[in-house]
Amino acid sequence: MNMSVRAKETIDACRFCWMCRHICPIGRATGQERNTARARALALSMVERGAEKLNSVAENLYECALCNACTHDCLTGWEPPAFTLEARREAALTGAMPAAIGDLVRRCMEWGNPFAPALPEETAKALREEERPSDTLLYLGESARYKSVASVRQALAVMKKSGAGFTVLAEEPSSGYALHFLTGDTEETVAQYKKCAQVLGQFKKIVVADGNDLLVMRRYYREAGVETAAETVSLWRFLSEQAGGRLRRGMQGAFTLQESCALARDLEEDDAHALAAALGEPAEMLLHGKECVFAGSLLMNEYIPETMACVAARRLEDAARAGAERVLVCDPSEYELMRANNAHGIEIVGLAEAVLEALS
Amino acid sequence: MNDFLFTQILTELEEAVGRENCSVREIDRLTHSVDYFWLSRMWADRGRHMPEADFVVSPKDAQETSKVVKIANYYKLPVTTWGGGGGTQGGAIPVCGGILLDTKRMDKIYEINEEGMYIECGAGTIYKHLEWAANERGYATMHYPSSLNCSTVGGFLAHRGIGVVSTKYGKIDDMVLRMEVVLPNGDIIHTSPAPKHAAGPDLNQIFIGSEGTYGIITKAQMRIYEQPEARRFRGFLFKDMHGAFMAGREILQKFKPSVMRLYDDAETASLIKKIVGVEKPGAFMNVAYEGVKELVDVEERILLDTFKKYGAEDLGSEYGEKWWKEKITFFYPGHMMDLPQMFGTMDTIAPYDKIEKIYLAMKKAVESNFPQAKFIAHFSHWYEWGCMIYDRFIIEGKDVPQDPEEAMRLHNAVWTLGVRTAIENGGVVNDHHGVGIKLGRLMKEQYGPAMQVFEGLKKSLDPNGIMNPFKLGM
Repeated sequence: MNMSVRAKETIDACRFCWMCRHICPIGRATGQERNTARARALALSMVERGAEKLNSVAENLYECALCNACTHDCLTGWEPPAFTLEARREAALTGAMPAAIGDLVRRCMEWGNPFAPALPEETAKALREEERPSDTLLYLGESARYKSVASVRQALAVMKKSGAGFTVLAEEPSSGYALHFLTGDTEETVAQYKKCAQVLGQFKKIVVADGNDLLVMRRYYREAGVETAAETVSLWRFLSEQAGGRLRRGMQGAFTLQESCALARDLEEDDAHALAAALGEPAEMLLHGKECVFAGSLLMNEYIPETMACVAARRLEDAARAGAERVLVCDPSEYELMRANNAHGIEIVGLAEAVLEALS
Repeated sequence: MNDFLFTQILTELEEAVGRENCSVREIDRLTHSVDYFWLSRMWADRGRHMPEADFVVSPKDAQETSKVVKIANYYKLPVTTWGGGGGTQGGAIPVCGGILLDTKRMDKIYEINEEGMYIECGAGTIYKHLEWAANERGYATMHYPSSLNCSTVGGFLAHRGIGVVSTKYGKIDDMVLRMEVVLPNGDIIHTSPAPKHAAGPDLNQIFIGSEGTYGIITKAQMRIYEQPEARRFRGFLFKDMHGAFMAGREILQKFKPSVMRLYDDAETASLIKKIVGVEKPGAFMNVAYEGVKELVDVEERILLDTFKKYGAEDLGSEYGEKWWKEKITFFYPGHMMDLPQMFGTMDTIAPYDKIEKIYLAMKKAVESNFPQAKFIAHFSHWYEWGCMIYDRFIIEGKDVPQDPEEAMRLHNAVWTLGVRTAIENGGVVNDHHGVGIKLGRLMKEQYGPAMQVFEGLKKSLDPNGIMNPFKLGM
């Protein structure tokens, strides 16, 4: 396989090591042995040794959420998602990609997103109403735009109530997150990075609503040599700075926060946590902050919906055990999937919605 | 097996556990074919396929497990149970193909009973998740083996595992109150409501350590403990192993430390130096004592007075605390032995009157017959009457045959000699890793005619011999 030396070293280190099994949100939800870093590494090591074909084990590569919980937990600093991503790139370049993934990649190329050829009418209308000249752009991301009307509505409303001047783009370019997730940094992915960076460069500040988009813009653009002059900031940091002092501390009942793994773990931002703490006294789940647990991806929901349902349901079990009556959710994907798989009667609230209510 | 029959069995298994929980995909068969056993890892490292199951099933409870076992019995298919796959003895490898039954979907926490001080959970629960459940209520499981993160409750029970604070809190067989077991004929049974009874032999202890040959553990009530008010560490350096054994023996007559780990000179100079930083020559012993603070104060005084009598150098608490912090670091890639090295842990257990003799005999046997092997040991689980040896051999570089058959030949020869030496000097085949396929051949040497008790149970419970064949010497 055409992979980096580091990726091959990691594969050989991880192929017989199970020490991150307990932390994998997918493995925990499905109970399947293949949902471990070691299973992927073992399979790829066999491909590398000529004892397996990549296409016979490739499906399993896409069951990893790339949430980096295993990387964070590894005491010796290996990064299983890095070799998984490289293997996805190899699968894309060698025709070993499963059909379902190939379809999503084609959608990304043709539609500019993996979900639909056009925006939901309600979202399109809301965005048209908010397009105005401004040097601050609210970047919503494709998960919210195509799959979570509620997240779009909440983000727009809280931005307006915060008093910030901002605009949105009815024709928002893809950050490249979906292609990056599905194929790694291929030429096509980097082309999407460049296209997006060019558009973002027309603004002074980009307020990013989805943690995954911010991670791609901050980390993978740089690694691919793509630059943008605009300052990128998470929606939560922006709201903290813009309106943090104006929040009423009056949230009733026990609540907990479902953080964005990309923000809390990869980018080490705790602004969402600070916002939640300003609203009341959160009942922390055992794993939070840098140890927060991935609770679902709308992109993965396109090809493994049963798994995403299990993952979201499992996270809600954590919240229930923590005694939460309400979960405040940061990312649009997790918001939608937790709402769709809520067997505990817990109230699922977007963090933007909660901040909106608390803003005086 | 012909395609028609294969598909027929597949549809029946799918009906039993749900289509999504029954797989014949290569990724599932491959990942269940290699466990932590050195030989299976070596085989894969050389690009060879280990024996794979024909079907991989993941039942969610005893009822689904029962259905799978009944199908297996009808078609006379082997059933190998897989928990976390972290075993070192090849116990979970489906060497005869057939059905691989993965227990990890049986991971429900049914009850946290704070009055009875136990958690009832599915046997597929990862022990670390059980620990989290206990921690959320302010308790602890006190079962902290190096495989805590990756192994299951059922896996630990099936091979009779142990954790690092065992000297105070006991082995896994001390930590279980009650179990649910699916017998090879599909019957679902429960062991007695409490252990330590006089209602005949303890059913728990028949299934614990049986490695899936008598049935499949599907649920268990595991003890939880109050978190200690105080946990303190003390490191010591002994000039010789004999003094260390006698000091350890004496302290166990007075109180039970939680951690007691004695490292021989070779392991002190290698692993302990590398991870904990002890530079001096000698045998390092790490002791932890914990519980109610007033009692811990008294225990500390007794410990210092007792060890002083045996000439132990008091190294203070720093090394012990570092060891506690790093206690599972040893087992991450880059810290633990790994391929291309050949290695093995030939752990055994014996009373104090034999343990030193066994250690010296095994060391001599391995080092003199296999001069290419390095022999290191520590003694990490102690009782009032004796302790265990965690002795390892390591072969490196060009001394490790590249040819897989030759590598297996050398590996098995070292193991046979080492374990046979332990048995001949009063030790047991294994202390806490189990038997699996690795040591099955030595079970009859250990037990002699007593083996017929195990074999009789096997014939009665599993007349078709479908449950984990060629494991445990049966």
